[in-house]
Amino acid sequence: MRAVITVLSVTILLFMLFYVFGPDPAQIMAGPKAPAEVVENLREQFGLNRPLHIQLGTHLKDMLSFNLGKSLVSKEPVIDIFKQRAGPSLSLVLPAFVMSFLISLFFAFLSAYFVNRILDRTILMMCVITMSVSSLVFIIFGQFVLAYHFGWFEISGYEDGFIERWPYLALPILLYVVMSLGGDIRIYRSVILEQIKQDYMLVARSKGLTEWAVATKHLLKNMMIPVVTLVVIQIPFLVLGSLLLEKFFGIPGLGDLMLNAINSGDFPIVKAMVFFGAVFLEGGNILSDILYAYLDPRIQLSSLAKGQSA
Amino acid sequence: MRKFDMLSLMRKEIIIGLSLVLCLGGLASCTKKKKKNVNSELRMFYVSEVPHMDPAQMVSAGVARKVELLYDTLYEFHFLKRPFQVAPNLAAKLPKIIRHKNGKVTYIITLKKGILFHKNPCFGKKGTRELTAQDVVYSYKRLIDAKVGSRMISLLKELWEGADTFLLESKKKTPTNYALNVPALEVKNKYTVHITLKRPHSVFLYLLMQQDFSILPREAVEKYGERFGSHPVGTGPYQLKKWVRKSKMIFEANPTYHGRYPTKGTSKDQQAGLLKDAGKSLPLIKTVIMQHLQEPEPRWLKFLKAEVDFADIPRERYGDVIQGNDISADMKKKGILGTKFQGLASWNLYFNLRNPYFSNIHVRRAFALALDIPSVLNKLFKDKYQPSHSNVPPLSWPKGQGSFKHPFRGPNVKQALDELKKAGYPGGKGLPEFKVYASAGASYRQWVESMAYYLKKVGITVTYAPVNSIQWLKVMTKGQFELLMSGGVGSYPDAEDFLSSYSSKNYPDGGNYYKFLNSDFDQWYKDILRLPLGSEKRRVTVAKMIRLLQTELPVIPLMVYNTFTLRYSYIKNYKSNDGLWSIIKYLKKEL
Repeated sequence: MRAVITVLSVTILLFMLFYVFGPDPAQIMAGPKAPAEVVENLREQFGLNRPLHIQLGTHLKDMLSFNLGKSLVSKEPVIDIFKQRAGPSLSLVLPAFVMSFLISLFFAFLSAYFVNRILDRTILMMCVITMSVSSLVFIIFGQFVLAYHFGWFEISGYEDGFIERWPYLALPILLYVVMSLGGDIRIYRSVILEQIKQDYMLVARSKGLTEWAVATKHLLKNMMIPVVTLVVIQIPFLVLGSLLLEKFFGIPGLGDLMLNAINSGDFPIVKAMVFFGAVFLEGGNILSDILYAYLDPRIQLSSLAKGQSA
Repeated sequence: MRKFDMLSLMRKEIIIGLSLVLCLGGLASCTKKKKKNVNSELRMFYVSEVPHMDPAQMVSAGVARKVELLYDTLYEFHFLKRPFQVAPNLAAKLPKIIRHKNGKVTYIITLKKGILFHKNPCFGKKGTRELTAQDVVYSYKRLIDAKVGSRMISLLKELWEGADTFLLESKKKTPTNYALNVPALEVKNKYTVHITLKRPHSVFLYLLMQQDFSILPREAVEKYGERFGSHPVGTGPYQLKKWVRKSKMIFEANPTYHGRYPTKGTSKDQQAGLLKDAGKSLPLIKTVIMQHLQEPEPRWLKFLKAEVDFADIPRERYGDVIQGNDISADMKKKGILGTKFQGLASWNLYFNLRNPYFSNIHVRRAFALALDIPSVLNKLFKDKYQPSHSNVPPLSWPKGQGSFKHPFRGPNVKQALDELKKAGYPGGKGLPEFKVYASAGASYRQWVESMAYYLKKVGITVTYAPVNSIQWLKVMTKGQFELLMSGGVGSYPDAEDFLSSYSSKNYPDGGNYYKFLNSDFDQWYKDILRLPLGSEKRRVTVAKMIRLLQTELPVIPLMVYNTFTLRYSYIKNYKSNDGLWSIIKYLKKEL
């Protein structure tokens, strides 16, 4: 119920913001030099001259029935545009996200194992550097040195065939991984160090379990709750794509679409993106709740117990 | 605290991590399988997004250059002749113009026979059909259909008899009735159209060359409906083969294209090898691939790797690439050629004359005199642009009317201070801080900051107010700006295109964006529309209008292009046209 209220509130708030402060969509469609009659006719055509409550009602009805309307700029159905753009975005972000997760987990374990030793400090220093350097520097370095100078990657571009697209995505994926490593490694390292100190680790070892068993059966499972939280939070942002990388590498994804829609006042696209963002965020929250219960059955039991006592 | 056994613990992670790194390496190695640079493919780039390709809803010059590949207009500019000359395209010859005693003007247009539309399912089993006079009338009626929303609507409503009735009818909710007669547009026979104007309009022929006036088949509009903009069907030199929005457009040569390479040129054209393909069927290159490359740096790197055949020079690199008045030896070694590019564009600083401070001409003059525009351009753009003296770019200046040197060109601090004194604000005292609205972005911010530096010297304070395209539209149409820095791109090489913005009759609210009202200017504007193009009287009038804008200063001209376009030497048949129209159909590659 909370999720539905959140999604509805976001949808209404966005509509009000655009209605009150936003530009006139009819004027956008018609252009700056369009005569008043053309603008007025477009208002009539798109129902933009109707009273606020009627427009809001139509807007909510459209959202709930997933009728996302048409782009004001290209006149294409928003759902078709999403279908075209989701593939490139997910092709970039999903592999990059999985790789970055696994690689950061690897380095986080390494760092935690050698805690306070030279390797740990080196990893931490590298983390701080990757976090401090602007993304643009990585992009320019990647394009100039790795792609142009060494010729290892494509400089920019995109092909829509499933096989053909990967050469163009390799460099942006690599950069995504590098840019996200710093923050992730530091967080996962802290989580691991926190868990290593716990009593259950001592008990597990005192039972004579191997290190592999201690780590996989106890440490990994317990550290997964904060990790799942961190991962799930990122899901809606994954759906929105990677704005900067898409822009610089010419990848026709959703991040780039969102930016252009805001700049051009293409309200149907913006409202659909925000709506889906809210839906995915809430979906992510529900997913994380389910995962918590799976990873730590006490969470479910305790809530059941609370329900019974009530 | 006991440490855990790292190696055993991390076995799986190590394996997975290494596999992923190998995968990435594998992906990168795929990049070696690049397509060869071949003669049959021209590789271009485009910067601004193309929202759709419906000619009647033209939004920018960038879109027009793509639409030109797909559609034809009745007339076009001659590829080789300079100064620019109108030549027939879909029309068999130049129109016969009849001036009636009642002031009306009729253009008698005869079409070429046997011109076929692109093959498309909209034509049924036959796949195509011949273009006729009915198509011309249908395409032109779309421009006065309120549901289509063409930018030409207000102009054509004034020019064409019956256009207002058609417009009114088209506002109704039912589908527009294209059978409704518009007396200004008459089909005389299968290949002849008469267009009658209520009054003379000197640049009407130039208008007919705009992509808005492209000829298209009714069947395609009806089949594709609102998606027609994504399914272009024309008679142009190319057909759209593939369009991945925001990524790539692939055009394939139209095998039935009617155009031929011009057979006449000057001796210079002959020497430059521009007549080697005289009389050949166009287009000469089979495939055109246009990549969407928004950012200048990747665009430049792709050009240096010969992955695109043409380039513009990023401003940061301009000083290295251009040395003196030519491209550097390094570039030449790479087989790169450069051609000077003036372009039909100018950037200006506009005053909002609704603002009481700016209604004082001495304040406006003080602004103009305080600015050191050449220094700003040198510092910011390494002379990629040059200072302009008029909001009309030199390419559109009337010939033989002398120089248009700006009478209030700075830097002249002393004179600027004198003007402020005359305005009643000695040393800038009493003037508030002004906002300069300009596009959001580093170069505009630097521009405004540089102007602020020079204006501060005379006691005037300005700050940068960044706006995106939507905010820009809002401040412009509602007159909510103080100063506006913006550029204008022309559509045809005549000053009227740039002067129209200052006529007080050209906008829906009866004024113009800047609230510049001058009865002389308005009268002269009417005159230049009436007087024949190229007449001495018209040239004199245009010159007077340019000078009036210089002295009245509703706008301070800032800069015009002074740049080069680069291409590889394997591109043949290139003759600069300052970006006025697409020359792709004439180009050839010889690797």
